[in-house]
Amino acid sequence: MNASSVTSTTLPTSTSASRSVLLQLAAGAALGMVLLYGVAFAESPLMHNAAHDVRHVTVKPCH
Amino acid sequence: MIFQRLIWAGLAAAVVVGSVQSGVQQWQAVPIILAAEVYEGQKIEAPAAPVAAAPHVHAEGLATEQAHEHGAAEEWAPADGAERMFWTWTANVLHAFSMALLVFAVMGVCLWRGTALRSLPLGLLVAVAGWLSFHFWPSLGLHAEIPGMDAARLGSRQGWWVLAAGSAALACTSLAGLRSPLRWAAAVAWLALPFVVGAPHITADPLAGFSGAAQLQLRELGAQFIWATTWVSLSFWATTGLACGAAFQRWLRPVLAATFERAKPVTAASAGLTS
Repeated sequence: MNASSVTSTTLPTSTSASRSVLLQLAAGAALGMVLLYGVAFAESPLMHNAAHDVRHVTVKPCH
Repeated sequence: MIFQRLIWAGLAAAVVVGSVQSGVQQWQAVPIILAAEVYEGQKIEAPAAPVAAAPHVHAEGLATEQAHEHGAAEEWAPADGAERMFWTWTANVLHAFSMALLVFAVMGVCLWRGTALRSLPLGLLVAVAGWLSFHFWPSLGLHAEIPGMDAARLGSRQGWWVLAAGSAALACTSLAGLRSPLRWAAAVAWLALPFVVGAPHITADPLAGFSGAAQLQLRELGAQFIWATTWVSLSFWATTGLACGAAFQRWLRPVLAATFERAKPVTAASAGLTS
C-alpha cells in the first residue's frame, strides 16, 4: 500500500482526469440522494407502502 | 469509467448490508411495528374505511390536508408475510445502496485530499459521520415513531429531518476539511442550527387518539422502538463501514489512487496500481 503523501495541491497537468473522477463521484452521490428520496421521502402511496417498515426503522418521518 | 465501478461496488455492498439489515430489523424492530399496528386499527378518531381494509395503510390522524392521499382510491400495499418482507428487503437494499454511493464519494474525496488511512478504517470513520448525520442528529429532534402516533405535518418534519442531517454532515465536513482552529466553532454552530430552528412537534399527546389500555401499551412500544432503532442504525452503519471499506479497497481505490497520483506534482509513483 503506497500511502500518498499529504500534499493536497494539484497542478494543472493531468488534473482534468482527476476532475473527471471527482465529477463521477459527485454524480454517484447525487444518484444516492435521489434514491434516498425515493425510499425514505417520496409521498407516492405505492412507495410509502412498499418501504413503510424501512422508513419507520430508519427513523424517517413517515406519515 | 469510474461511475460504472461505483455502481457495481455500491450494489455489492448494498446487497450485503441490506440483507443483514433485514435480518436485524426482523428480529429487533419489525415485531414492535406489527404490535403497534394492531392498536392502530383501534384509533378513536381514525377514519374507519382504509384502516379496516388494510391494517398498515395508515389513517392520517391529525394531518387533515392529507386525507385525499389515503382516502379515495384503493392503494396497493404488500400483504403481510413474505410479500411485505420482500419489499422491506428491497427497500433496505436500495437504502443501503444510496448510503454506499454517498460513502464512496466521501472516501474518494478523502483519497484525493491525500488521506493516509487505509480503506477499512476510512470506511468506518465515514460511517461514524454517517450515523451521526443520518441517524443520531435527526433522531434527537424527531424521535422514532411507531405506527399510529400523531405528529406535526409530514412535510415540515421531513424538512426538519433534511436540515438536521445536512447540518450534521456539514459539521463533520468542517471538522475533517478545515485546518483552522475555528473549525470546532464551525462544527458546533452547524450542529446547533437545527435545534435553534426547532423540530416541529404538536402540542397534544401523540397518542391522544387511543383509549387508556392501548395508550399504555403504545407508550411502552414507543420507548422500546427508540432503543430498537438505535441498535438497528448502529448495526447498519457498522456493516456499511465494513462493506464499503472492503468494496472501496477492492474496486475503487486502485483506479482512484492511480488517477490522483498522476495529477500530483512530484513522483510518488503509483506502482502496480493500474486498474
